[in-house]
Amino acid sequence: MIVIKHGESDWSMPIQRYSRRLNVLEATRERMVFIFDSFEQIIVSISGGKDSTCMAHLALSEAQRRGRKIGLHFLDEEVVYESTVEQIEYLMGLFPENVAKIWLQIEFRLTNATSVEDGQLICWEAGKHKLWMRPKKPYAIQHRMWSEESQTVRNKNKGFGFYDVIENFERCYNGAAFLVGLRAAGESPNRWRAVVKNPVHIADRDVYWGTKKDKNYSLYPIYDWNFHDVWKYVYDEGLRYSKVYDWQFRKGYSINQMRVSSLIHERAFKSICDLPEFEPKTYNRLCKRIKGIALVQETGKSAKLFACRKLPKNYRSWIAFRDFLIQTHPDQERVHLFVERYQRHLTNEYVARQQCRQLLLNDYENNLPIDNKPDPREALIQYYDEVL
Amino acid sequence: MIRIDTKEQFREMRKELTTEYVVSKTHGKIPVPCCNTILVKTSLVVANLYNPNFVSDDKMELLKRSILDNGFCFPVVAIWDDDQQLFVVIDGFHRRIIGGSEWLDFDYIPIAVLNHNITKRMAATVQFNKARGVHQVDLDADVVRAMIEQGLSEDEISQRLGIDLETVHRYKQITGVAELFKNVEYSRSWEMVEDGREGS
Repeated sequence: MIVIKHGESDWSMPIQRYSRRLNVLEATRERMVFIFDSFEQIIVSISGGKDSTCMAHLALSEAQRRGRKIGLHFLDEEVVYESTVEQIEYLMGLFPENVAKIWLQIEFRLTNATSVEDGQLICWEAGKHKLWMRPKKPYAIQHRMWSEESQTVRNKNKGFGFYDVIENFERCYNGAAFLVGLRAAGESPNRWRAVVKNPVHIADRDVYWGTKKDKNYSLYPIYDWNFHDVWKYVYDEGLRYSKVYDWQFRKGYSINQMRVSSLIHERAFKSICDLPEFEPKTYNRLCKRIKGIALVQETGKSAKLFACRKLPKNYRSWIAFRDFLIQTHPDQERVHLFVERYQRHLTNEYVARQQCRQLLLNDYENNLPIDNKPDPREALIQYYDEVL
Repeated sequence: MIRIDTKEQFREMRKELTTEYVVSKTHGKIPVPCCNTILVKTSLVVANLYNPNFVSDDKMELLKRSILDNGFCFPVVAIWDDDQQLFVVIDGFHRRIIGGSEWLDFDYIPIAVLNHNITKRMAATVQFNKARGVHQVDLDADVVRAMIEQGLSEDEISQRLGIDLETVHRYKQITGVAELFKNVEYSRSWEMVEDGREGS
């Protein structure tokens, strides 16, 4: 974690200071007391991962102590590990007296990096219930809680996506606290500083671990936890956690790389490589649900195809490979999105390699943006030309 | 059992080779070439040039171990190549290598002979390589645990299953990841504050 010192500039920067008195668990229990004192309505976002499991347990323990009820909110992307579903069911059933189940299973668009034909997956798409990864939960919220007219969409090109659901969902509340298991130690320091740049004012206190969103607050009560703190808490409290972590551990993933995420996002689709070994039934369902899965499973780890690190041997340059990919792109309706975007870019091998990756991942949404700059290799060559 | 020592011998008896079959209720007669396995002089069987399958060294050791423990259970699948006047492997390339002079140096190799043209051969190789299962991590771990209970050492397990010691170690973890952290201390808490203010 970077400690930023107060500079000469006239705008003040908050600095990070360690507590002499409290460890992260004690501090978070105090934060929970503060949250419960300050808000009537508390909704905990859970993902099935270890961080939100740990945070939900801390919040639920406080709710139980006070005999109060809080919401557990899971936005179900449909294309998830079965172990994730089991983990959500476990958390929802842990303190039945204190939980309002907010399991959201509604239609929205997910980026699908695994298939050129199905560029986006519409999860829980109406009329396709026979193809869904699993049936909807009887007690889940199966329809939008807001009207068609009031619904907002951030990016018309991408359509109604994950973050749009969150935004519209949160707008259904007034004065609520949404607890999110974001950890600064797991995020890049810069991103964390962007989150906490401005404190929010709650009950006469400046709170540096939250943000205000319209009428509500998003709060990050475990922001200062490290991954080992989370695991210790899970162990000490005897909590169940997603089996995916144990599988990943056995497969040799490093402890702080282990993720339980959606299965088809650009940054997550490598997890499909190991899926047949983890959850063969989920893998079978996924192959029926989405085109292209089998190819990703076989090649996802191979540098040549999706990672795009090695130029295929039949091409002289990344630029040539890029032009080939554009000419032969199977999705002629969207290929202009790439062409128009690339016209604004520099022409060099460094940029072209990234463009190839976008094309192979069919990332017309530009989720993995191109670092558009002169080829660092060319600068290096020029430097040596001059000095030698 | 038919033993083939020379090309001439195979050319002569070639016409007489028959193939057993079984009958599928949905697809009719299906040949069963493995019932007509012949033993062929190792030097008459050569690799194909297009096999994309790669077997790592530790898996080769495991294959050798398997042949020593269980015998040669599956014939190498091959065709007779009229140009080369040799048998060319379609499936079982690595079993052929194990039978070669660098490993077990067999006198004969069991082969099942198919009658495929080149396109069909290439397709067959890929089908053989890919149409196989993977081990579920969970079940693999169960096998390791069972072997430990049967009194095998970690070294023996590593040798017999062809997995390295670290993997045996990981598989042994019965209780899982959380257990690894039981003895750590919680980190110090920290907060963001405006510079110069008193903290707790």
